Amino acid sequence: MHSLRRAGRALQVELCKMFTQRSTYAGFIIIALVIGLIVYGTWRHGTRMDELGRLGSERFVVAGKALTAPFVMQFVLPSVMEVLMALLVAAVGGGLIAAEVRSGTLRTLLMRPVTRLELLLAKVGAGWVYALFLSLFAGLTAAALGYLVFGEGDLVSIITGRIVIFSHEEALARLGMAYGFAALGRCAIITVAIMLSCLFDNALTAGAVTVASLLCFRILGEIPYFDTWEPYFLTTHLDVYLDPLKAELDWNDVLRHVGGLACYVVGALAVAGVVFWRRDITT
Amino acid sequence: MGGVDCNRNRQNEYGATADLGGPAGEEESLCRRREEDIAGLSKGMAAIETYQLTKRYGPILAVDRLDLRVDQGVVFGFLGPNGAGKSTTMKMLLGLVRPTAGRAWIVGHDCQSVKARQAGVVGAMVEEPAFYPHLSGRENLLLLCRLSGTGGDEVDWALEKVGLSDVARRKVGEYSHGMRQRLGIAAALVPRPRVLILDEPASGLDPAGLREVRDLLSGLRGEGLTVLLSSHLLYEVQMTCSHVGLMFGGRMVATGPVGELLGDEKVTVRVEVDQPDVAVNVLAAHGACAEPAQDGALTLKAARSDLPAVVEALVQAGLRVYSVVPHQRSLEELYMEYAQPTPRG
Repeated sequence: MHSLRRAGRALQVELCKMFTQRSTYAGFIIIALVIGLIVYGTWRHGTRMDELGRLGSERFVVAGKALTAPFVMQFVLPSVMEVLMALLVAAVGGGLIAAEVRSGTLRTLLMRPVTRLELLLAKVGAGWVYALFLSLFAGLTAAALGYLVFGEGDLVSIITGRIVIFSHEEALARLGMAYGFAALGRCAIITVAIMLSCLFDNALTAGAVTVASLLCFRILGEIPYFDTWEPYFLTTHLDVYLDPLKAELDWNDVLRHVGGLACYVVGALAVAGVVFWRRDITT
Repeated sequence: MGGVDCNRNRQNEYGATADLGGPAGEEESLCRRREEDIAGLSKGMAAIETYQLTKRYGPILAVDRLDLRVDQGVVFGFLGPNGAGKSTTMKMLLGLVRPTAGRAWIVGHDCQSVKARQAGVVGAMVEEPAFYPHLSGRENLLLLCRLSGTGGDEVDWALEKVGLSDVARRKVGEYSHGMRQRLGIAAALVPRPRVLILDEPASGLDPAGLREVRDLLSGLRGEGLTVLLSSHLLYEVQMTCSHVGLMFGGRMVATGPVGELLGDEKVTVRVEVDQPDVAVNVLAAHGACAEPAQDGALTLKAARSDLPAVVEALVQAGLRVYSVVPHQRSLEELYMEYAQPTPRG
């Protein structure tokens, strides 16, 4: 019970530190800018729906309004959530321990009545809050700009490689789930970044190694030889956000991916816990 | 020791816990723990104690089987050259570094346990103080108080104590080195601890700052606080500390009250008289062995309490006494006696 209280206090401190720092908001600004540019570009270019025809063996005509707010929200998922946000959370997670070790502030914190495990959990908690806020912000920004520029309408989903059409209401529900799963994936990435932050004294190194690991998984996943390993890759499970955008939602698949992410989180936490617990704070 | 202080701390912790919305059980438990600590201290429990404390970094033996006891109310100066193991010992006491062997306790709590760092037990500043530059000095201290589970009641008191009240709301990133050093001391003081561990507290301070730190430590000593401080400023240590420990090559080579180590009972006295040869005989008759110095003066070893009798004997023998100057051995001299290369590893 005392331990929970201490961890709770440490979480408050971590959140306070994080959200009083200007650089924390850089991620939000970048995401807003990128989504703004996506919406502007899509609006100026007119419809890209013509290109949908390339998905099938024959060209076909899309009647009605294809560019809608749900379409923008869907477009943002792979472009912003998968690439940009992965970079941002890796950068933030990489600095949560390593930057504090380097600046000496970790020593200041650990001289207070908080165990290393409690502090680590607080940092992971703060990292998750950041990842969740960033995901929520991306979703809300995409929705706001989408509704403002294109208005409501059905979703023609092309994200899974197949054309699936959802009614507006169902599209919102599916997109909500997709964003939720994407946020879960960002939480897993930030946990891995924090683990690496315990291993390296340099925040940049920890962040870079996190991103490099994701790229490695992605590249290896494209090579048929590694097909048998693919279920164990983090990137395989990060794609869980695609599941709600398939015509039929396969809950078993969702659970398998969420379980995979949970395994990565638990594994990263265990490694981080052991390394952080044994570490001498000499700087 | 300061019963008033204990009560004050208890009230603050009580109030602080209430601020945080903690249940009454936690408040009671906090108070009970504090009472146990105080009871332990009053029973003669050491404020700081180590037993065979050892730290090895690969082939380097940083601290070698250190047995140290610092009693309550003592201001203990930790002396030694760079790399002697002082900071490593302090870090082990604060749970920052894990000992390779041996154990250490603060007010009876194992140093590796979080209890040793609970609010009001120990405050510390080790090496260069580090703070969050985007926050003000006051906000940094409030953050640390929050982490300790206390309110910020004593933040303003601590800032005033170290002379930072005027710049308390300025961002730490704009602070000078000396100001950060002072903030480090203030951080160690909140919430008011029973044991204070300071590593080079005077580093980077100007002469006025040095004096303020000295006065602050003297004041804290008067309040019954136990202080363990390391410094290279031997004169400051001699002025401030009641006890010292000399550490060389990871080992404690001398420890004890300053007066005892410096040999307060016997001082070297330089005596100027008109007839040194006669004076030697007079003093010999009184059991004091004086030796003539090159400049015609005499030097002798005598207890400080015997000096009036020495002067009286010389005057009664009809000698003119121009000066009697006792020379107290300084901490620097003691330090230099031990300062010789020690094999490591």
